[in-house]
Amino acid sequence: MILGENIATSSMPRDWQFGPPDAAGPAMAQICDLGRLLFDLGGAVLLLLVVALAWVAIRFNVRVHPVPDRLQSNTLMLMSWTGACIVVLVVLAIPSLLVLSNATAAPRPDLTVTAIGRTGYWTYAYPEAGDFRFDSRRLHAKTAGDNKPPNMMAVDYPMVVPVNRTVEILATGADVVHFWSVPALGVGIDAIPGRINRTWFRASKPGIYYGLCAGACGADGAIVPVAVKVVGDAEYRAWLSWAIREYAEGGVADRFAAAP
Amino acid sequence: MTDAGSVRDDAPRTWRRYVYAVSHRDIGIMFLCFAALAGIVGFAMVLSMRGEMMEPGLQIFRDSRRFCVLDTGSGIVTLFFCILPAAVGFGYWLIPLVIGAPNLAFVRMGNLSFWLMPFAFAVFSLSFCVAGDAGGSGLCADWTLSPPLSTYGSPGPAADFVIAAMLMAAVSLLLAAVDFVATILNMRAPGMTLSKMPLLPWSLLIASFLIVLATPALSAALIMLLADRHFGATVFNPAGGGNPLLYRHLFWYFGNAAAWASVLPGIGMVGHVVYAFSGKPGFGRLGIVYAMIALAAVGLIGWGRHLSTAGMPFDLQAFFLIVGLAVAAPAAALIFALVAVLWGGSISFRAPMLWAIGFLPVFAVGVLSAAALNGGVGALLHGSTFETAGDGYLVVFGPAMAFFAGWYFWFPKFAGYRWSDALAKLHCVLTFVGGNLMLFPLFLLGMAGMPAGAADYPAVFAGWNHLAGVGAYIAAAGGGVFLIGLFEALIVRRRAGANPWGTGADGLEWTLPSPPPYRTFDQLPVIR
Repeated sequence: MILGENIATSSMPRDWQFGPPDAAGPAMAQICDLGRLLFDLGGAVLLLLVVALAWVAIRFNVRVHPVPDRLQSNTLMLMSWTGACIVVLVVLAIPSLLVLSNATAAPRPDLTVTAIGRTGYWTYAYPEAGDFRFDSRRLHAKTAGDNKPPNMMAVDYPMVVPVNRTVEILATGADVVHFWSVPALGVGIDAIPGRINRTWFRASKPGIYYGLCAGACGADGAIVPVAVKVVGDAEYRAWLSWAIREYAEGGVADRFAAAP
Repeated sequence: MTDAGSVRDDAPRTWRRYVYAVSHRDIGIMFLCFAALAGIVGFAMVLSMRGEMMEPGLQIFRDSRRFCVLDTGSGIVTLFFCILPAAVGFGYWLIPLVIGAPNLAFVRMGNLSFWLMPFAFAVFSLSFCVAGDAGGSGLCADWTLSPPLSTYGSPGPAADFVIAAMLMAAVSLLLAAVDFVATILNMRAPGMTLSKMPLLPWSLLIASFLIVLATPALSAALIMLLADRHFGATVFNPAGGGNPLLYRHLFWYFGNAAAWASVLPGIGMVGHVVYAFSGKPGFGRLGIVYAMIALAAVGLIGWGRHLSTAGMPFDLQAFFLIVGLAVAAPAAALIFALVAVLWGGSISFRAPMLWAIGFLPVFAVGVLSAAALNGGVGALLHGSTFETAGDGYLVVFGPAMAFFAGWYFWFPKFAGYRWSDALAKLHCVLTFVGGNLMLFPLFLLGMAGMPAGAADYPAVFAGWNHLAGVGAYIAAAGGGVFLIGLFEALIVRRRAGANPWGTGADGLEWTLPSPPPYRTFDQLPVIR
């Protein structure tokens, strides 16, 4: 029920992975397309440069070409090269702006979840769906038992959301600045104290999706995982009624009543 | 009075010469030695971290907090105590020589600018010995000192030491930049108009303007941090109506400008080297100057790429996205202009030239990754090792390639001796291969979702991390070759003569003996 024994898909990175994770939502699909465009164009430019340098080294070294050409003006070539670059940049700017407008758009959410970043763990609140909250901590190998969770990425209680629904995330930081991100869903937003940042996603495949927050995420320096479990509508409703009972009275929620 | 060719040397003797230094060359060489030492310290920190990350779990470090302290420190050492001081050192040594001036406009300001640095570094080093937070000594935040982690997140004095050190370094850089602007604008030899001025002073002039415009924002932000920490101000504390985001805007306004300010002097040096060894001196120089100015102008207003996930509204993000992409245009023009110098030239592959050619693809990767980090894919790559790799290419690897090109080019002028060409080339190959192996896997790790600054990590990231560690060791071997080469050159003492590079090296500095006498250009050269 809680950990999800039958995980259909998972966004676990692979060793020697070359490229972004597989998209699990339309936002990530769009980002992946843009990323591929950036990668291809950047790679082409880099290849062009390396080929040009190799050609120069072979063709214009002092033994083969002892007398340098006495051309003095190349303004036209410089302008045309810069012009070509500007065309490429415009080609890049359009899909980039589309991705950006998608990420900052505000479609009507089916569900709102508040993600509160804390040093070492996340607290998730479901203000509209029963107004309960629970915290989501990294599952350490010794507490995980035989469940064999993905090393360092699994949590005890993941955020649970229904598939193919627009989920709005309101992120904030309780102590320091955190970063709530799930690459496979194409979302990432800073959780800043005193500020509520908004983003949204729509997952198109059930599964558990992981993200990591580290570096500036707290003085303990350890990795803090983000885990989102995407389930079907029926399973979500079952989880919701379980969660309302579990967290609303007594449960985990009370521990945060006095938290900052 | 001595004239330019005289060997009479009335330099002050013993320690007075350096402590009371009023000669651009003494200040310059002290800056370069300081940057080299800080570079060794910084690279040792990076090496220990990369070594730790070769395997998941903890092997070298006892706990992840120590790793975090080193991670915080290494960024500060690299930018504030190595890359920028190295650029300043080259500037002090070379600006008067290449523009035909006897000395700097403000020599005592130059002296102050240097002597702030060792104190700043000492204060910074002390931060490792005092309490940072409840977890232990040293500051574990991130290298940008972003609050609240650097305010109430690190209550111990370590953060104060780091802030004080950064403030001193900022003042030092500001003084040097003002000195450079004044010297370059006022003390050029008769006849050297701005359009005839070589690329190195041009690049330093532009970089100095960036520093003069950007450093005050850093100083203000750091002072506000101190006010928040000690005087009950809440500039960045939401509990008192402040906003932590403000700090990040102020810091990255400086940080982004400083990134370009550390790249530009390198481009200027690469320009000199490429001119000298291609047989096409001065080819397309004004185009390069315009591109550098454009790069700096766009770089100054493009700090938003570091804040792509901070929740800015669409309009603002769109602005920063377009500006961030626009940086690539002048950068591409620069790379093209330098390739155009090589094209049709007659290239001799001496060691400095090898470094300069190696710089071009490294710089290109840095610019491309900076463009990629804008807006669109920011959600995916922000805070990941992709950012580490991009900044590494742009701000550390690229400038390092360029500075070594400059070092090997002007070392005969500085010391009077020639460096072993073979050792310098071996150093170049090891640095190029090692640096790429160390940084490129971080792009792939970042795309796969590996966050920056983690000591321990999921085992699925082990492969690329191991490769990056191997790269770090190769680059370290390159550093060893550099030190061997330095001792070899100073022991064997192959006389360089006034101009060891031949007719391609046509700058004013090559008309002076090597090393130049203590006083140069008492008779100002006239440029026709």
